[in-house]
Amino acid sequence: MPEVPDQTLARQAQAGSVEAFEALLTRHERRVAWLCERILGNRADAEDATISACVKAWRWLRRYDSSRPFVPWLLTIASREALTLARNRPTWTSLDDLTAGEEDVRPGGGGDPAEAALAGETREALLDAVARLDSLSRAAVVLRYHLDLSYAEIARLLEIPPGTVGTLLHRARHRLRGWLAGDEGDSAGKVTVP
Amino acid sequence: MTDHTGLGDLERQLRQALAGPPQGEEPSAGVVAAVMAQVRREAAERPAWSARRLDLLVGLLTAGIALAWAVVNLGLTLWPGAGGLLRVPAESVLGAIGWWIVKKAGGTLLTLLTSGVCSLLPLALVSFLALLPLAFWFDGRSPS
Repeated sequence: MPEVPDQTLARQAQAGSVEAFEALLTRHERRVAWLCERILGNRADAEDATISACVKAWRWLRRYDSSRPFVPWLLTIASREALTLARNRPTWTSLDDLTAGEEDVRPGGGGDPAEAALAGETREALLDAVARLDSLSRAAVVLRYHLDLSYAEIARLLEIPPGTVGTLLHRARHRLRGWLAGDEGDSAGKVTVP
Repeated sequence: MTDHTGLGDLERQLRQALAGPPQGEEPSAGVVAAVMAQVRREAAERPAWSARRLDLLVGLLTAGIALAWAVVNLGLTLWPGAGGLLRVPAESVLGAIGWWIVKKAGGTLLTLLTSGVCSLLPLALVSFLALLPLAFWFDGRSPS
């Protein structure tokens, strides 16, 4: 039996069907949780953000335009929720911290990224390396390379000047490349706010 | 071995690595249960859309009547001659007396109504118009 499209389920949920929303949630919960975990950097916070984002998706369902894909709409809510939660955590790196050169470089989550890369586990190595980035850079990288958002959209979500997004991403890529090449130092310098 | 030196290559790898969770992963039963418990609770509390539409209709109708009343009173204040349009010819003494009573009583009643409504109406109207977006906001419960 063919799977009911997301948009059909969303329209039913908009009409008040809790069952249709449950079907959507079951279908996409992993993606929401995965995105939240990438932004927040830990599973416990990601779970809180996922619950909160999905409840908000239900509340705001009437604003969803069912002629457009459902998943990007849901993931945008999830990223906002994860970022709100992240900003309230002491580990959140503000732009001021970055310009001052104080960075939240986390210890490697699952081993040395360089070793993992050499062993051919590029994806895991990259995910580990992304998890080691400071929280602001990590969020920017995830929003750019997972949600494919523009610099302007990223700037709006992160509440930073649009011109800084490019610098932030450029610097993050340099650091990731350095880590993957086995260089633990940070050769990219500080973020400059235009 | 994978080349990790090129930035373009790194971007491509980032897109692949951050493409999403591995396929076939089961949803977290705990998260789904927590969300659905809250959703069911809110769905039970949420009034039917038809009831909300009725509330809105009554509200708009009230505002419409109030606005029409304000416009009529404003018109009569700015252009008292408009009242003359309502005048009927008094062809008999009885008719003249009757018309005098109607005018007096009507005038008094109109004065009372006008002064009362005109003093309260702007306040009511402004309050209603100010609260209307708030009502929409609560209805949608979305700050965006």
